[in-house]
Amino acid sequence: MPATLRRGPQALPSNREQKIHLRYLARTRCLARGPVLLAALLVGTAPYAHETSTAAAVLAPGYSSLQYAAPVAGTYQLPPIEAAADAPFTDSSGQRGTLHALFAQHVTLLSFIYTQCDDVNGCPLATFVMAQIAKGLTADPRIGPNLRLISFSFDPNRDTPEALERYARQFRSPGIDWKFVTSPDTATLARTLNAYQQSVQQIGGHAYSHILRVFLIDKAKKVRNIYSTSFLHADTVAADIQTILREESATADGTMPDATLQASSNAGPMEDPRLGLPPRRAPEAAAPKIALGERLFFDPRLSLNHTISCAMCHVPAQGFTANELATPVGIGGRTVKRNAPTLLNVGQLSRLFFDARESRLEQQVWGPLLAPNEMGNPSIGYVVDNLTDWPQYRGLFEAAFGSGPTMVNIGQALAAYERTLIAGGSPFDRWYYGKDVKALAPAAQRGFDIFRGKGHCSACHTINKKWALFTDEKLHNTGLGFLASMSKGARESRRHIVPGTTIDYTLAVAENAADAPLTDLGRYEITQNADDRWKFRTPTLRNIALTRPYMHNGTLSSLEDVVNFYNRGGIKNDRLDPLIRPLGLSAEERTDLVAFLNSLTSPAVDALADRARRVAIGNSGAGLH
Amino acid sequence: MKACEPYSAYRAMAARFLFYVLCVGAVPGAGADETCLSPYMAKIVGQEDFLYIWTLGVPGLGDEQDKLVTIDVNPASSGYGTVISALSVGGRNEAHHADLTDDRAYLWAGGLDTNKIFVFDIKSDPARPTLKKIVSDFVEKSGGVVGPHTAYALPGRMLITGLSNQTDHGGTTAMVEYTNEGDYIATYWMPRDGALMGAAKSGKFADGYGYDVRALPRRNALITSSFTGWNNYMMDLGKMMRDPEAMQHFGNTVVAWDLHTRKPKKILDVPGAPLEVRCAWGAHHDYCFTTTALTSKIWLIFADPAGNWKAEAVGDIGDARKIPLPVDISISADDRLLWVNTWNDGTTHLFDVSNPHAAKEIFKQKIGDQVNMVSESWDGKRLYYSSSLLANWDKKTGKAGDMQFLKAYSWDGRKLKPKFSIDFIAAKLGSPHQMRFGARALYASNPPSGTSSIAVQP
Repeated sequence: MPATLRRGPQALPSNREQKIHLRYLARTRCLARGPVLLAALLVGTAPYAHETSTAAAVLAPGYSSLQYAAPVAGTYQLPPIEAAADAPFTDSSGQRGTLHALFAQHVTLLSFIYTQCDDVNGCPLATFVMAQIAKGLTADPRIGPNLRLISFSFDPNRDTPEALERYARQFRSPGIDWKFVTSPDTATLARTLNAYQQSVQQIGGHAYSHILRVFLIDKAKKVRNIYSTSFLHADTVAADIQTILREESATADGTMPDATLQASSNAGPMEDPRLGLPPRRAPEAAAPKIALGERLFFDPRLSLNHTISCAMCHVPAQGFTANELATPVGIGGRTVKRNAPTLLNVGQLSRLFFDARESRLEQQVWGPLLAPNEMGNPSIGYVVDNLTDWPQYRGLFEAAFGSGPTMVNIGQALAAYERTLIAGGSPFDRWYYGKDVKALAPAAQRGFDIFRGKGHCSACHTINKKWALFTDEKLHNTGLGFLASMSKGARESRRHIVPGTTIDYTLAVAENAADAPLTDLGRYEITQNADDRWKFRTPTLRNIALTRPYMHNGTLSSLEDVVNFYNRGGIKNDRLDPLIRPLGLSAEERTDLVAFLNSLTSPAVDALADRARRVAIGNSGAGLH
Repeated sequence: MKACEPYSAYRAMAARFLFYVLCVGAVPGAGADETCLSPYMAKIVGQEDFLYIWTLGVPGLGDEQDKLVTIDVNPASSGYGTVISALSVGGRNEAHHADLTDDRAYLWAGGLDTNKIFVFDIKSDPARPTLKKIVSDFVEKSGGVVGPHTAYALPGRMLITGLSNQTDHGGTTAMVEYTNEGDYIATYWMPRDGALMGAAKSGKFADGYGYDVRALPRRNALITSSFTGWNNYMMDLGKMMRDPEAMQHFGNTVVAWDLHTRKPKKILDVPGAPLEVRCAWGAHHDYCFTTTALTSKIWLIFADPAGNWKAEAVGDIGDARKIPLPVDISISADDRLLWVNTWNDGTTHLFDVSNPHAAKEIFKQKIGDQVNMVSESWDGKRLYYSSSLLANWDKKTGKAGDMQFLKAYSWDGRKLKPKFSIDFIAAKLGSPHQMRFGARALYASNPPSGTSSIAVQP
């Protein structure tokens, strides 16, 4: 059966049901308002959409043909909104009953009305649409027996069973399961109206003020749609009724559709992710410790205001760094001055942070947890106490470590997870260490020669015959830190604010709205040794294609920018590392060097990101007052 | 009093009728903040009694907390122009937008940082709102949506646009539907490359970003815009503008949705962060306006005679090179005028959009050192301006009273005349953002004479 109910012009505002309702009113009482409108309706005029008319000419869309294509039943979902409340009633024959008894076995359309209503776009509209539904759908043997209409009066004093019966007779016809009911008393009525959020106020005489709402309720007693004057229309309601009757499962998956998931799931057989990596610095931890560490890593409650997790700056889908920012943003939007380093293969490093101030992951993890501009926790004890109290962690530390949370085992758990982020086995690894001659493209092979030769890159990004971390873990002054600290800064800035479109603007527009940039003196901030000014630890180049932007402050956006930077010899300053000097690389050589850098991506990264995606999303608000 | 729902197809007629029956006369330049609200709710068409202002807490100022500030704005009241209530909610949540349920019983106010939604009861005592509930499961229930922004009333429900996500704090996001009682219903992700979800990509972009939403029920359409993710809106403005990576991550799309099925239908290129969406009221005016924050343009989103949604740049707002940063906009009830605030230079602009394809600026006036939101009475005679944009984008210094303020004006069709102002810094309240009107008559069987009038059903 098509979703759209076929109604000819005769069904427009001069229709039978509408006239019936208004004539009923005319017989039963003197209309207080709307005589012009009533007259217009009774004579069958259709002033709809004529702007020059008076307000009395305005009719709700439900009285007219649908102005757009009706939804196709079964092609969309109507997620359950809420439980439909039960309520006792007295029907037009004086029999008592409950709504829940009526809801069972039927899809129900429930409207709240009063028979004396003279607002043509209120109760009469609901009755009109329900009558259209009755005529259009109840004849269908697949639908009729499963559909029930209920008009519930909120005026029990005047809408007695007898009055309801008189009203109902105007609309009943064979095959229509349409009940007209009201509350047995005013106290019960108040509870019913409240349960259905029906704000009804008597405004004198026979009139009530109320907001029209019609409820579509499934057999499970769940409200599936709520219609109001603007979009109560028989065609859409009919489509919804059929959609509910057709559906086999009611709920939708609310998780974010991942454009990358399918591609990664289709990846070929996994290469050895350890190929090309050095021996483990520590044995792999037991599974409960890793699982606990993973949970901690993705939990935003580990920040002061529950908004930032470790994974917010080390985004799995972005190479466990943050591609969209030069430097990250901490709690409350606070500025972090250094680029988020990748955590891939971080378990192999012995010097941590760009200033190399930590040597073990177990200790390093407390840095971001306690930094005021990162996760902002006020103390170690605050974190420990929270993890002790939160029910989501109950028993997990005990199972993993044999004791409750402590400063030590929190670090151990996070380190255990981070050490699983192993991502070797790149095309370069398969070619160089795996001896697969076809694994590396010729351009990348030429780039490797430049890397070790004319480019002098391997002087800092070291490799050996058995493995390569592509870092000497030492600290160097490339001049970028000097530039950031000592330059006057550009007044004009040319920005790609829209892809493919640039705009020149002056940074002065933001001066009064900006904090002063944070200075960064590198290793000097740890040693206070003047020779250490603007020295930063050499980063690994593994998976470098995934971890833009580059350098300690994220100021270089692409690998081409990085190669060009070093080809120019860095930024001159008194303490520029002597290893940094102009390279004289040709354009072709630079291209080949970039091809080599692009060959350092591990096929294991997608699997690590997929695994991360399946970690339950933390509830950032839980536990806060 | 009768509080029934005006509906979109007939709003133009309704507005004229209301002006007529309320004897307010025709006011040149009549606009209507009330008409910026969802079509599914009653409107205040006479004198509003209260202004509710969702206000950011500021470190070092007063109690430092976000709060709902209530101001008496009825000239007939002895408290006219004063703060009569300030309800602190605890913490700084990046207070931003706030809006009403369809029955106007509750005001939903979102926190873009903490993802909490504060539900205020404004019905029980409109002069003294109370905090009814805190929705704190937004991220978890939605499947990872971050940054609850617009809370848009649908019958019995609230449709909330997100700005970001819990996976990377970037701009990929969704709309989330809740019941008026604060229970989660469903999540609708914005279409993007690789996950178009049936939407037609009409241009270069399908970014999956979100910001504002408005409905055109007669067209069965929802129109959404796109801003940027948590990383950017929480970041210090200077840091962001110096960061070429960050500056590339703004929304460039408007999406037309099927209102009934909540399915995205068409993605339109609107480059440069389209923000507020305001749809025309006329029975045959199948269009909405938005403005782009970064490229400073007015865009028309319209359905052509065949019913296809299109986007067209129809006007410039100041000098884009100076980043005036268009923020709040308001369309007049007769669809002839569009107020546009530019935050960076603190100026309000009035555009003639009687030809929606050619917006023409006809008036402008500086309001303060910065200005963000504008709210206007139904009759267009009273305008209220608030100052704050985002905690870390707001200006740090400026003239006393011109930094963080509420300013009330009258409008006679030619000029704005100051009525009163409140310095939110001097009052130690914080940084004022979204404003919404309240009226005793919405909730009383017999509204006080000489005060509010409520829109009757047309």
